[in-house]
Amino acid sequence: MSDDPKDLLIEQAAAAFRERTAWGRILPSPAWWDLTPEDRETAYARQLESRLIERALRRDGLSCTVLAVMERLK
Amino acid sequence: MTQVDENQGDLLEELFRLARQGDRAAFARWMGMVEIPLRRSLHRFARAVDVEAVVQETLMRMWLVAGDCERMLQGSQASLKYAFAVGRIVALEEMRRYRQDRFVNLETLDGLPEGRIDPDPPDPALARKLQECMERLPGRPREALWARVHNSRLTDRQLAANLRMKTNTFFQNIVRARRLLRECLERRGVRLEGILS
Repeated sequence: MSDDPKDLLIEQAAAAFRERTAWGRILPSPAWWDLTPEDRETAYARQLESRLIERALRRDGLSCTVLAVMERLK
Repeated sequence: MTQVDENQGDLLEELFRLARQGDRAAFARWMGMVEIPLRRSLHRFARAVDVEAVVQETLMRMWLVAGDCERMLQGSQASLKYAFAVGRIVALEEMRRYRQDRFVNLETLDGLPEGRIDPDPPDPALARKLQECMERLPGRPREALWARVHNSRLTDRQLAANLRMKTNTFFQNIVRARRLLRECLERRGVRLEGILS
């Protein structure tokens, strides 16, 4: 299994879940701050890959990004 | 523009029109078609902003635009183009808020292409191959990836606890699942790198 700390940080930043402030402003992933500019490019690609996988594997065809936004609209 | 592209563009605007009437299911479908092109259009900001956060904030603002009856969007794929413009504004706001503009040259930013502006619905053939590969994953990596795909409201820490894994082990299993999925897809003639580029 991968024990590369950089790889694990990138994986954390790839998730769609994001914290928000008390005023509702969305916050960057805490892991994203610890990435170098080059690793942020990799995280971007990993996010894109994750969303494509999610919408392919879910019956409703929606990614976790869309679901997170829908949750906010309630 | 091909006939297929034209049909997708018409569907996109029809979904946004329904969203303007308060139809949340139509807005979800609209987001499903817009999300990937929007994300690609923000690639040039990837060193300076967390693109995931920018995409979510942009989609939230588009829901507000949909509810604003005084704002009219006109022309071919108007809602998609408007979402691109909003995404760019949100990205610039985030860069300035966190003083990350040193990672992107603002003077050259405007000269860069935005990328494809076609709506991008899910691909059924890719979905079928991904599901086959998912079923072949070993137990713990499959459980970890499955949990993330189907529980968007929970943090990774919560997902790991539900699976009785340490958070670090959860991430290791996701990384492993992703690598095995890539290898499985390549054996079926699908290169994720090609889809992502």
